[in-house]
Amino acid sequence: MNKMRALIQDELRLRAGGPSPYVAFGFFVLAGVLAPFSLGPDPELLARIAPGYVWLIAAISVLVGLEGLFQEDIASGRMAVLRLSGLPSWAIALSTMSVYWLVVCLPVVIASLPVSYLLSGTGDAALAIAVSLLIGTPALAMLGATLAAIAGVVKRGTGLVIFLALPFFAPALIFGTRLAGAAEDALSAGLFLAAFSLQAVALCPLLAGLAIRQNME
Amino acid sequence: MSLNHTVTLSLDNVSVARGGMDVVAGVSVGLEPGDALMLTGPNGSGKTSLLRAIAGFARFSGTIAFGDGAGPRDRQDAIAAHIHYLGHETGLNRRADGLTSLFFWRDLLNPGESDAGLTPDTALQAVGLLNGPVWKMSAGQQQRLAIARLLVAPRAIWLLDEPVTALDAAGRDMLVGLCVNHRAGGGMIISSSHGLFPIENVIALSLQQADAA
Repeated sequence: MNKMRALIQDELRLRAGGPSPYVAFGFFVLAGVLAPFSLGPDPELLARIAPGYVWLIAAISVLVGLEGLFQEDIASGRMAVLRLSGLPSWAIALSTMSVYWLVVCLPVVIASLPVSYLLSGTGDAALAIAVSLLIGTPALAMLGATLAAIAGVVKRGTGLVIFLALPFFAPALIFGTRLAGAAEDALSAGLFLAAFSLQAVALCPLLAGLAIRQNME
Repeated sequence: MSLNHTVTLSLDNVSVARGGMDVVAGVSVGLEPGDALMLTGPNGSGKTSLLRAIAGFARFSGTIAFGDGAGPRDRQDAIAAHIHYLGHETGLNRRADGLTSLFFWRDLLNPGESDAGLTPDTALQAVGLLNGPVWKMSAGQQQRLAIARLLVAPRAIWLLDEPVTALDAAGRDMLVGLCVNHRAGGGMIISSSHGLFPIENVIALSLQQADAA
Protein backbone atom coordinates (compact mmCIF):
# COMPACT_ATOMS: atom_id res chain seq x y z
CA MET A 1 0.00 0.00 0.00
CA ASN A 2 2.98 2.22 0.69
CA LYS A 3 4.01 1.90 -2.94
CA MET A 4 0.53 2.63 -4.20
CA ARG A 5 0.32 5.77 -2.08
CA ALA A 6 3.69 6.98 -3.32
CA LEU A 7 2.65 6.30 -6.90
CA ILE A 8 -0.62 8.20 -6.57
CA GLN A 9 1.18 11.18 -5.05
CA ASP A 10 3.61 11.25 -7.96
CA GLU A 11 0.74 10.88 -10.44
CA LEU A 12 -1.01 13.85 -8.85
CA ARG A 13 2.16 15.94 -9.16
CA LEU A 14 2.54 14.93 -12.79
CA ARG A 15 -1.06 15.27 -13.99
CA ALA A 16 -2.27 18.24 -11.96
CA GLY A 17 0.66 20.27 -13.27
CA GLY A 18 -0.04 19.30 -16.87
CA PRO A 19 -2.27 21.04 -19.38
CA SER A 20 -5.09 18.44 -19.50
CA PRO A 21 -7.12 19.62 -16.46
CA TYR A 22 -7.15 23.20 -17.72
CA VAL A 23 -7.97 22.30 -21.29
CA ALA A 24 -10.86 20.04 -20.25
CA PHE A 25 -12.20 22.51 -17.72
CA GLY A 26 -11.87 25.45 -20.08
CA PHE A 27 -13.54 23.61 -22.93
CA PHE A 28 -16.45 22.53 -20.71
CA VAL A 29 -17.13 25.97 -19.23
CA LEU A 30 -16.76 27.72 -22.57
CA ALA A 31 -19.05 25.32 -24.40
CA GLY A 32 -21.61 25.64 -21.61
CA VAL A 33 -21.57 29.41 -21.39
CA LEU A 34 -21.68 29.88 -25.16
CA ALA A 35 -24.73 27.62 -25.63
CA PRO A 36 -27.35 30.39 -25.20
CA PHE A 37 -25.57 32.43 -27.87
CA SER A 38 -25.62 29.71 -30.49
CA LEU A 39 -28.95 28.08 -29.56
CA GLY A 40 -30.89 31.24 -28.76
CA PRO A 41 -32.00 32.65 -25.43
CA ASP A 42 -35.29 30.73 -25.19
CA PRO A 43 -35.35 29.56 -21.52
CA GLU A 44 -37.69 26.63 -22.18
CA LEU A 45 -35.52 25.28 -24.97
CA LEU A 46 -32.35 25.63 -22.90
CA ALA A 47 -33.95 23.98 -19.89
CA ARG A 48 -35.14 21.07 -22.02
CA ILE A 49 -31.80 20.38 -23.67
CA ALA A 50 -29.66 21.11 -20.59
CA PRO A 51 -29.16 17.48 -19.41
CA GLY A 52 -28.27 16.14 -22.84
CA TYR A 53 -26.13 19.11 -23.79
CA VAL A 54 -24.14 19.17 -20.55
CA TRP A 55 -23.54 15.44 -20.77
CA LEU A 56 -22.34 15.75 -24.35
CA ILE A 57 -19.80 18.51 -23.64
CA ALA A 58 -18.67 16.71 -20.47
CA ALA A 59 -18.01 13.53 -22.46
CA ILE A 60 -16.00 15.43 -25.06
CA SER A 61 -14.03 17.32 -22.44
CA VAL A 62 -12.97 14.00 -20.89
CA LEU A 63 -11.47 13.02 -24.25
CA VAL A 64 -9.35 16.11 -24.82
CA GLY A 65 -6.86 15.30 -22.08
CA LEU A 66 -6.17 11.74 -23.12
CA GLU A 67 -3.44 12.50 -25.64
CA GLY A 68 -0.39 10.47 -24.75
CA LEU A 69 -1.67 9.58 -21.29
CA PHE A 70 0.35 6.34 -21.03
CA GLN A 71 2.46 6.88 -24.11
CA GLU A 72 4.40 9.76 -22.57
CA ASP A 73 5.21 7.69 -19.51
CA ILE A 74 6.54 4.91 -21.70
CA ALA A 75 8.59 7.28 -23.85
CA SER A 76 10.08 9.09 -20.85
CA GLY A 77 11.15 5.85 -19.19
CA ARG A 78 8.91 6.55 -16.22
CA MET A 79 6.81 3.46 -16.92
CA ALA A 80 9.93 1.29 -16.81
CA VAL A 81 10.70 2.52 -13.30
CA LEU A 82 7.10 1.99 -12.20
CA ARG A 83 7.11 -1.56 -13.49
CA LEU A 84 10.28 -2.38 -11.53
CA SER A 85 8.37 -1.54 -8.35
CA GLY A 86 6.72 -4.95 -8.49
CA LEU A 87 3.26 -3.40 -8.72
CA PRO A 88 1.18 -5.29 -11.29
CA SER A 89 0.58 -3.30 -14.45
CA TRP A 90 -3.16 -3.14 -13.78
CA ALA A 91 -2.44 -1.34 -10.49
CA ILE A 92 -0.22 1.16 -12.30
CA ALA A 93 -2.97 1.71 -14.89
CA LEU A 94 -5.59 2.04 -12.16
CA SER A 95 -3.64 4.75 -10.38
CA THR A 96 -3.07 6.70 -13.60
CA MET A 97 -6.75 6.44 -14.53
CA SER A 98 -8.04 7.32 -11.06
CA VAL A 99 -5.83 10.38 -10.88
CA TYR A 100 -6.96 11.32 -14.37
CA TRP A 101 -10.56 11.21 -13.17
CA LEU A 102 -9.64 13.25 -10.10
CA VAL A 103 -7.84 16.08 -11.91
CA VAL A 104 -9.79 16.16 -15.19
CA CYS A 105 -13.31 14.85 -14.54
CA LEU A 106 -14.00 16.01 -11.01
CA PRO A 107 -13.45 19.71 -11.84
CA VAL A 108 -15.85 19.24 -14.77
CA VAL A 109 -18.46 17.68 -12.46
CA ILE A 110 -18.14 20.61 -10.09
CA ALA A 111 -18.28 23.14 -12.92
CA SER A 112 -21.42 21.42 -14.22
CA LEU A 113 -23.38 22.87 -11.28
CA PRO A 114 -23.15 26.53 -12.35
CA VAL A 115 -23.18 25.65 -16.05
CA SER A 116 -26.33 23.53 -15.68
CA TYR A 117 -27.95 26.18 -13.52
CA LEU A 118 -27.24 28.73 -16.20
CA LEU A 119 -28.99 26.59 -18.80
CA SER A 120 -31.84 25.01 -16.83
CA GLY A 121 -32.57 27.83 -14.46
CA THR A 122 -33.40 25.58 -11.49
CA GLY A 123 -31.14 24.32 -8.74
CA ASP A 124 -32.81 20.91 -8.68
CA ALA A 125 -32.12 20.27 -12.34
CA ALA A 126 -28.51 21.43 -11.95
CA LEU A 127 -28.02 19.11 -8.98
CA ALA A 128 -29.49 16.14 -10.87
CA ILE A 129 -27.10 16.74 -13.76
CA ALA A 130 -24.09 17.03 -11.48
CA VAL A 131 -25.00 13.83 -9.60
CA SER A 132 -25.45 11.92 -12.85
CA LEU A 133 -22.04 13.14 -14.04
CA LEU A 134 -20.47 12.12 -10.74
CA ILE A 135 -21.80 8.59 -11.24
CA GLY A 136 -21.06 8.40 -14.96
CA THR A 137 -17.69 10.11 -15.47
CA PRO A 138 -15.64 7.26 -13.93
CA ALA A 139 -16.82 5.10 -16.83
CA LEU A 140 -15.83 7.80 -19.34
CA ALA A 141 -12.37 8.27 -17.80
CA MET A 142 -11.66 4.54 -17.54
CA LEU A 143 -12.87 3.72 -21.06
CA GLY A 144 -11.15 6.71 -22.62
CA ALA A 145 -7.85 5.98 -20.88
CA THR A 146 -8.00 2.31 -21.87
CA LEU A 147 -8.53 3.28 -25.49
CA ALA A 148 -5.61 5.69 -25.20
CA ALA A 149 -3.43 2.85 -23.89
CA ILE A 150 -4.48 0.58 -26.74
CA ALA A 151 -4.16 3.31 -29.37
CA GLY A 152 -0.66 4.01 -28.01
CA VAL A 153 0.48 0.89 -29.85
CA VAL A 154 -0.27 2.77 -33.05
CA LYS A 155 1.88 5.82 -33.71
CA ARG A 156 -0.14 9.04 -33.40
CA GLY A 157 -3.17 7.09 -32.26
CA THR A 158 -4.96 9.96 -30.54
CA GLY A 159 -7.29 10.66 -33.44
CA LEU A 160 -8.19 7.02 -33.28
CA VAL A 161 -9.23 7.32 -29.62
CA ILE A 162 -11.94 9.83 -30.40
CA PHE A 163 -13.57 7.57 -32.98
CA LEU A 164 -13.15 4.43 -30.94
CA ALA A 165 -14.67 6.11 -27.89
CA LEU A 166 -17.95 6.78 -29.68
CA PRO A 167 -19.63 3.39 -29.21
CA PHE A 168 -18.21 2.94 -25.72
CA PHE A 169 -19.43 6.32 -24.53
CA ALA A 170 -22.95 5.83 -25.94
CA PRO A 171 -24.38 3.79 -23.01
CA ALA A 172 -23.11 6.33 -20.48
CA LEU A 173 -24.64 9.17 -22.48
CA ILE A 174 -27.99 7.41 -22.83
CA PHE A 175 -28.39 6.45 -19.18
CA GLY A 176 -26.68 9.56 -17.85
CA THR A 177 -28.96 11.90 -19.75
CA ARG A 178 -32.07 10.03 -18.58
CA LEU A 179 -30.91 10.24 -14.97
CA ALA A 180 -29.97 13.90 -15.32
CA GLY A 181 -33.26 14.76 -16.99
CA ALA A 182 -35.20 13.16 -14.13
CA ALA A 183 -37.16 11.06 -16.61
CA GLU A 184 -39.76 8.62 -15.30
CA ASP A 185 -37.23 5.82 -15.41
CA ALA A 186 -34.52 7.95 -13.76
CA LEU A 187 -33.91 5.43 -10.97
CA SER A 188 -33.30 2.45 -13.22
CA ALA A 189 -31.23 4.62 -15.56
CA GLY A 190 -29.15 5.68 -12.56
CA LEU A 191 -28.60 2.08 -11.53
CA PHE A 192 -27.56 1.13 -15.05
CA LEU A 193 -25.18 4.08 -15.13
CA ALA A 194 -23.65 3.09 -11.80
CA ALA A 195 -23.28 -0.51 -12.98
CA PHE A 196 -21.65 0.70 -16.21
CA SER A 197 -19.14 2.76 -14.22
CA LEU A 198 -18.38 -0.09 -11.84
CA GLN A 199 -17.71 -2.62 -14.56
CA ALA A 200 -15.47 -0.07 -16.32
CA VAL A 201 -13.50 0.45 -13.11
CA ALA A 202 -13.17 -3.31 -12.71
CA LEU A 203 -12.22 -4.26 -16.26
CA CYS A 204 -10.46 -1.29 -17.82
CA PRO A 205 -7.31 -1.31 -15.63
CA LEU A 206 -6.70 -4.95 -16.61
CA LEU A 207 -7.01 -4.16 -20.32
CA ALA A 208 -4.93 -0.99 -20.07
CA GLY A 209 -2.24 -2.83 -18.10
CA LEU A 210 -2.07 -5.47 -20.80
CA ALA A 211 -1.83 -2.79 -23.49
CA ILE A 212 1.02 -1.07 -21.63
CA ARG A 213 3.01 -4.29 -21.41
CA GLN A 214 2.50 -4.99 -25.10
CA ASN A 215 3.43 -1.44 -25.88
CA MET A 216 6.81 -1.67 -24.18
CA GLU A 217 7.93 -4.86 -25.87
CA MET B 1 28.11 0.36 5.23
CA SER B 2 28.42 -2.11 2.41
CA LEU B 3 25.27 -4.13 1.85
CA ASN B 4 25.85 -7.68 1.05
CA HIS B 5 24.14 -8.74 -2.09
CA THR B 6 24.41 -12.41 -2.91
CA VAL B 7 22.30 -12.66 -6.04
CA THR B 8 23.67 -14.49 -9.07
CA LEU B 9 22.35 -14.25 -12.59
CA SER B 10 22.61 -16.71 -15.41
CA LEU B 11 21.63 -16.28 -19.02
CA ASP B 12 21.30 -19.42 -21.05
CA ASN B 13 20.93 -19.26 -24.80
CA VAL B 14 19.01 -15.99 -24.64
CA SER B 15 17.68 -14.58 -27.90
CA VAL B 16 15.72 -11.35 -28.21
CA ALA B 17 13.63 -10.57 -31.26
CA ARG B 18 12.59 -7.15 -32.41
CA GLY B 19 10.35 -6.58 -35.37
CA GLY B 20 10.30 -10.29 -36.14
CA MET B 21 14.10 -10.61 -36.34
CA ASP B 22 16.53 -11.79 -33.70
CA VAL B 23 18.69 -8.83 -32.66
CA VAL B 24 20.37 -10.87 -29.96
CA ALA B 25 20.99 -14.53 -30.67
CA GLY B 26 22.03 -17.24 -28.26
CA VAL B 27 23.75 -15.33 -25.45
CA SER B 28 24.91 -17.46 -22.52
CA VAL B 29 26.74 -16.03 -19.53
CA GLY B 30 26.83 -16.62 -15.77
CA LEU B 31 27.44 -13.79 -13.31
CA GLU B 32 28.44 -13.94 -9.66
CA PRO B 33 28.09 -11.25 -6.99
CA GLY B 34 30.56 -8.44 -7.68
CA ASP B 35 30.81 -9.18 -11.38
CA ALA B 36 30.50 -6.57 -14.07
CA LEU B 37 29.38 -7.43 -17.58
CA MET B 38 30.18 -4.93 -20.31
CA LEU B 39 28.14 -5.23 -23.48
CA THR B 40 29.90 -3.94 -26.55
CA GLY B 41 28.99 -3.94 -30.19
CA PRO B 42 27.96 -1.59 -32.97
CA ASN B 43 24.69 0.34 -33.01
CA GLY B 44 21.80 -1.99 -33.55
CA SER B 45 23.62 -5.03 -32.19
CA GLY B 46 21.00 -5.49 -29.47
CA LYS B 47 22.67 -4.11 -26.33
CA THR B 48 19.55 -2.27 -25.24
CA SER B 49 17.32 -5.17 -26.26
CA LEU B 50 19.29 -7.56 -24.07
CA LEU B 51 19.16 -5.18 -21.09
CA ARG B 52 15.41 -4.75 -21.55
CA ALA B 53 14.94 -8.51 -21.73
CA ILE B 54 16.78 -8.95 -18.42
CA ALA B 55 14.61 -6.22 -16.89
CA GLY B 56 11.49 -8.05 -18.07
CA PHE B 57 10.34 -5.45 -20.61
CA ALA B 58 11.08 -7.41 -23.76
CA ARG B 59 10.10 -10.89 -24.79
CA PHE B 60 12.95 -13.35 -25.20
CA SER B 61 13.60 -17.01 -25.68
CA GLY B 62 16.01 -19.03 -23.56
CA THR B 63 16.46 -18.77 -19.81
CA ILE B 64 17.25 -15.84 -17.55
CA ALA B 65 17.52 -17.12 -13.99
CA PHE B 66 18.18 -15.31 -10.73
CA GLY B 67 19.97 -17.26 -8.01
CA ASP B 68 18.79 -15.70 -4.76
CA GLY B 69 17.99 -18.70 -2.61
CA ALA B 70 14.34 -17.68 -2.54
CA GLY B 71 13.14 -20.85 -4.22
CA PRO B 72 10.96 -20.93 -7.29
CA ARG B 73 8.85 -17.85 -7.71
CA ASP B 74 7.50 -15.56 -10.35
CA ARG B 75 10.22 -13.99 -12.48
CA GLN B 76 8.57 -10.57 -12.19
CA ASP B 77 8.89 -10.77 -8.40
CA ALA B 78 12.59 -11.58 -8.66
CA ILE B 79 13.06 -8.68 -11.08
CA ALA B 80 11.24 -6.31 -8.73
CA ALA B 81 13.48 -7.43 -5.89
CA HIS B 82 16.87 -7.29 -7.60
CA ILE B 83 16.91 -5.06 -10.67
CA HIS B 84 17.61 -1.41 -11.24
CA TYR B 85 17.25 -0.26 -14.83
CA LEU B 86 18.78 3.00 -16.00
CA GLY B 87 17.94 3.41 -19.66
CA HIS B 88 18.49 6.10 -22.25
CA GLU B 89 15.35 7.72 -20.91
CA THR B 90 15.78 8.81 -17.32
CA GLY B 91 12.18 8.26 -16.23
CA LEU B 92 12.02 11.55 -14.35
CA ASN B 93 8.79 13.36 -13.57
CA ARG B 94 9.35 16.81 -15.07
CA ARG B 95 6.97 18.40 -12.60
CA ALA B 96 8.71 17.09 -9.49
CA ASP B 97 11.94 18.36 -8.00
CA GLY B 98 15.05 16.34 -7.28
CA LEU B 99 14.35 15.52 -3.68
CA THR B 100 10.66 14.61 -4.10
CA SER B 101 11.68 12.33 -6.98
CA LEU B 102 14.08 10.51 -4.70
CA PHE B 103 11.53 10.19 -1.89
CA PHE B 104 9.09 8.77 -4.45
CA TRP B 105 11.59 6.23 -5.79
CA ARG B 106 12.59 5.17 -2.30
CA ASP B 107 8.97 4.46 -1.36
CA LEU B 108 8.21 2.86 -4.72
CA LEU B 109 11.26 0.65 -5.16
CA ASN B 110 12.19 -0.41 -1.64
CA PRO B 111 10.94 -3.82 -0.66
CA GLY B 112 8.74 -3.60 2.40
CA GLU B 113 9.57 -0.98 4.97
CA SER B 114 13.32 -1.33 4.90
CA ASP B 115 15.33 1.86 4.82
CA ALA B 116 18.52 0.17 3.81
CA GLY B 117 19.43 2.60 1.04
CA LEU B 118 20.83 6.10 1.31
CA THR B 119 18.47 8.81 2.44
CA PRO B 120 17.30 11.03 -0.41
CA ASP B 121 19.39 13.96 0.89
CA THR B 122 22.55 11.86 1.06
CA ALA B 123 21.90 10.34 -2.35
CA LEU B 124 21.48 13.80 -3.86
CA GLN B 125 24.84 14.82 -2.38
CA ALA B 126 26.44 11.60 -3.56
CA VAL B 127 25.67 12.44 -7.18
CA GLY B 128 26.75 16.06 -6.72
CA LEU B 129 23.39 17.76 -7.18
CA LEU B 130 21.61 20.58 -5.43
CA ASN B 131 17.88 20.24 -5.09
CA GLY B 132 15.82 21.98 -7.75
CA PRO B 133 12.98 21.42 -10.21
CA VAL B 134 13.65 18.65 -12.68
CA TRP B 135 12.63 20.74 -15.69
CA LYS B 136 15.37 23.24 -14.91
CA MET B 137 18.08 20.58 -14.89
CA SER B 138 20.39 19.96 -17.83
CA ALA B 139 20.55 16.53 -19.45
CA GLY B 140 23.64 15.70 -17.41
CA GLN B 141 22.03 16.77 -14.17
CA GLN B 142 18.93 14.72 -14.97
CA GLN B 143 21.17 11.73 -15.59
CA ARG B 144 22.83 12.31 -12.21
CA LEU B 145 19.42 12.41 -10.54
CA ALA B 146 18.48 9.16 -12.26
CA ILE B 147 21.73 7.63 -10.97
CA ALA B 148 20.73 8.67 -7.46
CA ARG B 149 17.72 6.38 -7.89
CA LEU B 150 20.13 3.44 -7.74
CA LEU B 151 21.22 4.56 -4.29
CA VAL B 152 17.93 5.17 -2.46
CA ALA B 153 16.67 1.63 -3.01
CA PRO B 154 19.37 -1.03 -2.68
CA ARG B 155 19.12 -3.63 -5.43
CA ALA B 156 21.71 -6.19 -6.45
CA ILE B 157 21.75 -5.84 -10.22
CA TRP B 158 22.26 -2.52 -11.96
CA LEU B 159 21.40 -2.49 -15.65
CA LEU B 160 23.00 0.61 -17.15
CA ASP B 161 22.35 1.53 -20.77
CA GLU B 162 25.02 3.94 -22.02
CA PRO B 163 25.09 5.53 -18.56
CA VAL B 164 27.83 8.09 -19.20
CA THR B 165 26.57 9.61 -22.44
CA ALA B 166 25.26 12.86 -20.93
CA LEU B 167 27.79 13.07 -18.09
CA ASP B 168 30.86 15.27 -17.80
CA ALA B 169 34.24 13.86 -16.74
CA ALA B 170 33.52 14.41 -13.05
CA GLY B 171 30.15 12.73 -13.41
CA ARG B 172 31.78 9.77 -15.10
CA ASP B 173 34.29 9.41 -12.29
CA MET B 174 31.46 9.68 -9.78
CA LEU B 175 29.53 6.87 -11.47
CA VAL B 176 32.64 4.69 -11.71
CA GLY B 177 33.16 5.20 -7.97
CA LEU B 178 29.57 4.23 -7.22
CA CYS B 179 29.95 1.11 -9.32
CA VAL B 180 33.17 0.12 -7.49
CA ASN B 181 31.32 0.48 -4.15
CA HIS B 182 28.34 -1.44 -5.45
CA ARG B 183 30.52 -4.34 -6.59
CA ALA B 184 32.46 -4.33 -3.32
CA GLY B 185 29.13 -4.94 -1.57
CA GLY B 186 28.37 -7.91 -3.80
CA GLY B 187 26.36 -5.98 -6.35
CA MET B 188 26.40 -6.72 -10.04
CA ILE B 189 26.70 -4.35 -13.00
CA ILE B 190 25.57 -4.98 -16.53
CA SER B 191 26.31 -2.04 -18.74
CA SER B 192 26.40 -1.16 -22.38
CA SER B 193 28.94 1.35 -23.48
CA HIS B 194 31.09 2.40 -26.38
CA GLY B 195 34.29 2.14 -24.40
CA LEU B 196 33.76 5.39 -22.51
CA PHE B 197 32.91 3.80 -19.21
CA PRO B 198 36.18 2.81 -17.52
CA ILE B 199 35.33 0.18 -14.91
CA GLU B 200 37.86 -2.53 -14.24
CA ASN B 201 37.81 -6.32 -14.20
CA VAL B 202 34.84 -6.59 -16.48
CA ILE B 203 33.54 -9.57 -18.36
CA ALA B 204 33.27 -8.35 -21.92
CA LEU B 205 30.48 -9.56 -24.14
CA SER B 206 30.69 -8.48 -27.72
CA LEU B 207 27.38 -8.53 -29.53
CA GLN B 208 27.35 -8.79 -33.28
CA GLN B 209 24.64 -7.91 -35.66
CA ALA B 210 22.68 -11.13 -35.74
CA ASP B 211 21.35 -10.54 -39.22
CA ALA B 212 24.83 -10.10 -40.69
CA ALA B 213 24.43 -13.29 -42.69
